[in-house]
Amino acid sequence: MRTLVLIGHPDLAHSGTQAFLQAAAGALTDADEWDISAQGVPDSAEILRLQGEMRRYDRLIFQFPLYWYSMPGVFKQWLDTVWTTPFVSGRPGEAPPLAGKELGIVVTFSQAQQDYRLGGREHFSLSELLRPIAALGLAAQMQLLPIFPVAQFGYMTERERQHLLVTYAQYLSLPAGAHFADRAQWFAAWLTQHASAHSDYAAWAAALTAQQEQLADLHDTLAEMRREEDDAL
Amino acid sequence: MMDGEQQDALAAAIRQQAQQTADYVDRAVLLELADFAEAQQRRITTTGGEIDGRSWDHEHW
Repeated sequence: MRTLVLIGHPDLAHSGTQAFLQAAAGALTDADEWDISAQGVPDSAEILRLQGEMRRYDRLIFQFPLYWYSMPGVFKQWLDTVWTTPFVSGRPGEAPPLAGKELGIVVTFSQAQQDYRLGGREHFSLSELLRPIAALGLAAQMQLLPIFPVAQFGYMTERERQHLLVTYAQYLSLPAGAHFADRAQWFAAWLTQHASAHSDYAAWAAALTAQQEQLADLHDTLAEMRREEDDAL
Repeated sequence: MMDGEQQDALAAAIRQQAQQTADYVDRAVLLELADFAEAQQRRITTTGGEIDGRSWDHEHW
């Protein structure tokens, strides 16, 4: 899985939230990142090069702070310039270049997450507000990932930030629609990769995997019992 | 195979290691891992309980 995070922030250098997310991605994933606000206005040759680069990835992530209920202008301007019609819709008779790839959205904001819902302080959900991005992704025949919201990073406790760090890394790297078993595998892989750091890590990875196999066996048994009960009715 | 008590010990051991880990990222992963190991054990206990309950359902004997 090759993931590219496209970060569009008007003042990336001074964003503690973005710095935290970038550190998480750098430490725990193989994802690449582009600071699109630093790319300036690309000429036609550069646009083609950027498009070619993006095609090399399986998953693209749009990452930005919410500005007036939308992506910041710097991100929109970049999209309007680099995501040309042939790049999004494809040339006649050809599949769009991004068809089948995944599109995720990491959106940060300073309000509480529950403000963004029907009847909440902001009245609209993030799913409603970010529909233009979904429309763009669907036009490109991409598969949409669930939105990854980061609310009020500045107010988070240390434990909440630790949780964010891991769930964000998993959002970038786990398969779409990841299950509990995928997360077990992610943790076991991390322990295995870091086995030289602590003598117990390899044993913990084995225990975690064994427990997951036990859980899978139990689910199989339960499914079989349910089938037998249904057949008996 | 580990029983529930041993698995809780696993989560406790991971959490203890997290407290002794200076690296910020490693500590975060270990704390999340400890929570995950507990959640995994809860699922095993719950699913096992449902199997036991169905096995002992006299209407299906």
